[in-house]
Amino acid sequence: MRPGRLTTPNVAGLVLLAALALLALAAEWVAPYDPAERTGAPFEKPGPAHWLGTNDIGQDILSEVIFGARISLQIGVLAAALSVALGTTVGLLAGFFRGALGVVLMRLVDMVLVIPFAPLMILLAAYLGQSVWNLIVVIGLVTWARPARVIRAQVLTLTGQEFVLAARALGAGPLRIIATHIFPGIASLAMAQFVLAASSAILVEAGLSFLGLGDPTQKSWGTILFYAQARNAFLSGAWVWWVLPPGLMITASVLAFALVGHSPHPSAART
Amino acid sequence: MFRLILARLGQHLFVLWAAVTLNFALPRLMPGNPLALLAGEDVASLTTIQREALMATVGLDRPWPEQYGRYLERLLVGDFGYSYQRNKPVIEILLSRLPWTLLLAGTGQILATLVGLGLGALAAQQAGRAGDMTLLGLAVFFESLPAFWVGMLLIAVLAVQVPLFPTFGAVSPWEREVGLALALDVAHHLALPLLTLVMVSFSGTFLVARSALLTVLGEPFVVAAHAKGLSKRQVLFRHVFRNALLPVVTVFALNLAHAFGGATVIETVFSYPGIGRLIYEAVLNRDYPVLQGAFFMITVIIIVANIAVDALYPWLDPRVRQAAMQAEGAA
Amino acid sequence: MSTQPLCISRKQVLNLLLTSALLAACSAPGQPTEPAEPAATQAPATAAVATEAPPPLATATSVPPTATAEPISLRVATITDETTLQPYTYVSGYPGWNMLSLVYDTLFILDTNSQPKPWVATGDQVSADGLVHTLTLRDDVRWHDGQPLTSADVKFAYEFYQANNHGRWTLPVRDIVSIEAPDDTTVIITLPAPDPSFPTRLLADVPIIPRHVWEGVTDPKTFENALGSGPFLLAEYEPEQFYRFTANPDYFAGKPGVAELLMPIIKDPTTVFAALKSGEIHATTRELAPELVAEFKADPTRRVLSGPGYATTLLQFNNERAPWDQAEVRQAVALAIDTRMLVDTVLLGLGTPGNPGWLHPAQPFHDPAIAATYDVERAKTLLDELGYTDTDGDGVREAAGQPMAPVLLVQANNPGRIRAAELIAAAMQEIGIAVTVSAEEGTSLTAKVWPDFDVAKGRDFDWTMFGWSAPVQIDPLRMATLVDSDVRYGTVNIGGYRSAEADALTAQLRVTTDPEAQIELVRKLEATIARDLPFVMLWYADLNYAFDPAVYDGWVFQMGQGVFNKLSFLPGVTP
Repeated sequence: MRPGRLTTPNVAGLVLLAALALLALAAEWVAPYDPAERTGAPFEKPGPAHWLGTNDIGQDILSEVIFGARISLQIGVLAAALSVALGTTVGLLAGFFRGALGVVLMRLVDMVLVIPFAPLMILLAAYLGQSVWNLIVVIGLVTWARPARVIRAQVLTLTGQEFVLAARALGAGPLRIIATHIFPGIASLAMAQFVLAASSAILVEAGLSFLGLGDPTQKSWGTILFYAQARNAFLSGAWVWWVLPPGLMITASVLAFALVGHSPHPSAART
Repeated sequence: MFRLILARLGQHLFVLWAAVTLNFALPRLMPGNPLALLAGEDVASLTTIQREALMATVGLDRPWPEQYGRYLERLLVGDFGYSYQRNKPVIEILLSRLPWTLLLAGTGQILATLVGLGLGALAAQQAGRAGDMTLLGLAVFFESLPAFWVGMLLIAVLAVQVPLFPTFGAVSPWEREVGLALALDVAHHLALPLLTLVMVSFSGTFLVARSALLTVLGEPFVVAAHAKGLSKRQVLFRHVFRNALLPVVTVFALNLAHAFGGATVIETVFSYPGIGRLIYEAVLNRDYPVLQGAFFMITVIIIVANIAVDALYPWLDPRVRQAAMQAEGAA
Repeated sequence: MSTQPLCISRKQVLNLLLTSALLAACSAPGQPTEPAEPAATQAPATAAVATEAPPPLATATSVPPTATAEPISLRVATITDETTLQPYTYVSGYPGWNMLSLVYDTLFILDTNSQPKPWVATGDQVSADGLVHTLTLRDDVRWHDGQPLTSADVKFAYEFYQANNHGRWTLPVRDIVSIEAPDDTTVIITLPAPDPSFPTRLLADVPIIPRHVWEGVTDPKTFENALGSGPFLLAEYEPEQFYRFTANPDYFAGKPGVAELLMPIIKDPTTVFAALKSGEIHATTRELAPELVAEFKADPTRRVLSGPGYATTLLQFNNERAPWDQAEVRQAVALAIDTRMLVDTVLLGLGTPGNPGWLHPAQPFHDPAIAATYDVERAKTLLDELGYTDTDGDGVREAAGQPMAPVLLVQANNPGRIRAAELIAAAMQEIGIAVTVSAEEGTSLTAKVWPDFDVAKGRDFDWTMFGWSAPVQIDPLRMATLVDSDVRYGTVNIGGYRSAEADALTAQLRVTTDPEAQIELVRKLEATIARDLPFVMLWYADLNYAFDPAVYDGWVFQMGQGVFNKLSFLPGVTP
């Protein structure tokens, strides 16, 4: 994705992402109510006062969903940034320096990949407390190994190619090769990884919340779904206004990320 | 080459040891202990001495290094111990769960990979055109769906509103079916969880396959192959697919490993008796032996998957094979 | 039918560890009330004394004729895996004990009012000094293998529990001086001291195991045999999947109302209710979530049986940590909590607001004069009078220089309690107390609140949401365990409450066997608790069970446990 060469999907993604970001920033003004306030009876159906009805204790679901953008996007973006920054660095180094450093790094990657995810989350949550910031750190720390592996695989492919071999033969230093030949070859991949990481971070948050391992006192989309499921919205008609909107918001944010990262150039591999 | 394999094996053993050690330490680092499980009911009415005696019966009164030594010792002879909660050998519990997880996660991953690969090829063929865009959009859309959300919606619609599928379990065991009837019943129960799993996980493979195919399609040797007059089909299967398989296999291995531990949510929604659910419950209950046993098993599976991928790399991509040989020669 | 001990600690453990079984994992007793009226209104106002139980309540519906051509195969989902389901391996108080009771018998049984009544034993003659119990057994009770159940089995069982420690069975038999079996149908038990709880905690609770099967067993936890004498045989158990029971046609109390009982294990509540709705299961041991009650009631193919529950939800203070160690501060907090609003919001009205003195208002021992007050202004005044005012203008009062800002711990997997915690936090803001709600995974929370389940090990929290199971309510004599400052007696005094007055009352209660005197002591203790408020009672959730009456309609609502009990499967039987 290059500046000035934005495609229609890029623009659509940017617009969607901007809209979501704006929604998050302007939640106070957009939302009809304070989502923490009980403005209706529990389990109210949609009506003029509450377009999406009320939740199990009478809070406005629409306001919850709007404010939810804040926490969910925050978790998605920050956790993904952390994850991909770590992953790209490690993948690059491990793929390029295939000596001791590469081996050590890949052992580290292997180790992180074999740590069972859920128990680690619980452990950390139990220690740190179940908060949004801890969730970001934990998701970032636990998920960087995947991008690292993918990036490394791409680096392996790149370093085997003629132009890199040629550059090496010509005596170019490793930093120079990385900067001029390898990094451009993985930049779009890293971007795509960021998109994936952001989406998976949002999804991980929802999944953890569903299992009761998120922060149930924060109104993320995952938390809204946690309460909806805990209060059996799936068994009554309530899922239409209580379950679909946050789920669709999650979908919309991921879609936005993906469209922004979309590239029309076949050479810029997506992921 | 043999030395290389030995070295790799050593590395994997190191990872295994590290994971095993982590498996030992993590549960013990968590606040709380399995006393409630050990005591069963009325834990409150026990005296302090009784409590300590109870912890001693499973060796939890010993210092950590001693517990660790005993744990490694037993692991070496394949003894995973007894579950605190279920009063059964851990290995028995694991083996009763494993087939279901293999069935769900394994079938799911294979199906997702096939679907992803097929759609990826389809999309790559018409890169940039409407069909590609549509598939891309759909893939991204499906990937963004929370698994439990899809599962619950499927239950709500296809099991509750219109009772076409069962809402829970892996089989109707009391029906005592055999042969085809049993297979159908298992498939009936598997349908919704499998659908959920494939829906939310095929797009990873799709995106990888598509981009790899696009990359390969643009490479000189493919252009050359076309120029040589090979048919589209021949080029596709002889050159393109083979080269595009590398990242697809990587993703498959990663996903498979992930699926074993990560099917927890889907297993929970559908009350499916798999390993993921087992681990989750063991964590909440501090059932150390089950945790350790399950972690160990997953770790071994993941390591084997990694070894397989490493072994497949050179076969899949001659350039890596060359590079590896060079690296060995240099070392 | 659980008897007391039953759910007791296990329930909180369940609540803590498991989660979502929230409100009433172990349920509570209640009167079988068809309409879900608030418990208090229908509770017998008279103080029914334990020994003279009210007449058994009729079953909810007509008894299905057992002679119908088609043998009934009933599917009742259970919420836990109870492993091999013998007395040393079953897991939970509820529904584990109840499932166990389908296979094993006890000498007494709790009737629909949760009062102990003769069962395998036809009576219990107590000596004048209260020490020697002479029990006469029926002579027509047989084990599932056809062998007769005799006094030798009873003696063996109780002595086995004495020798092989078990959290629930050992305690009631531990101090027995001697058990004799002079002939096949007579058991003579000698106690070291009179024990008012003897019929409930021992006779109606501890299962009899067959001597010819268990003799020589050294490791009962790994012994796999569920041969009992109860109305059902455990025919099959598939771990994590299901139990299959088949009726014992020769059961001494009559042929069970269903020929086969299938119990699939479904842990996720939503899945259970989905299966109930779709018809895959016909009933469940899980109570209906409040939001589903109306829906199932409106469904003509389902029936809902409701009753008040004794399981409690409360706000527990750390009574050792300032400023919460002052009764006046705790009173102010309680005054600012609108428990009626909590019930209406969190339970949709399907529950009873808390009685500050602990007992459910439907409990015959309860003193009706004790009730909660909601008065925010008085709460503020109380804090002002203590000198705890907002000195730095940040909206939060200071006590001894420290802001009144407690952390309220709540089980992360218990949505109802989290909601209540948030509502309480909002209420506290009104009176200048800044509460931070912190959701923690169950076992981690317990590690702070009740380390090792041993109150002697101290505590590290400000406030926490908590709850106790029905048995603690059913047997009012257990109130001592909540408040006694001696850790030997106050085994669940998790807040570290300390009061000479309460200790004196519990000491008397321990040695009092006269029912009238017991009531008086319990009421004094209630008054003490209501004044000192070591915890704020928030609510008692009602119990609602949905089932498919077309398949089986014999459900019996039993005080203390709801509908999943032995009597529900024995049509027309009244102990």
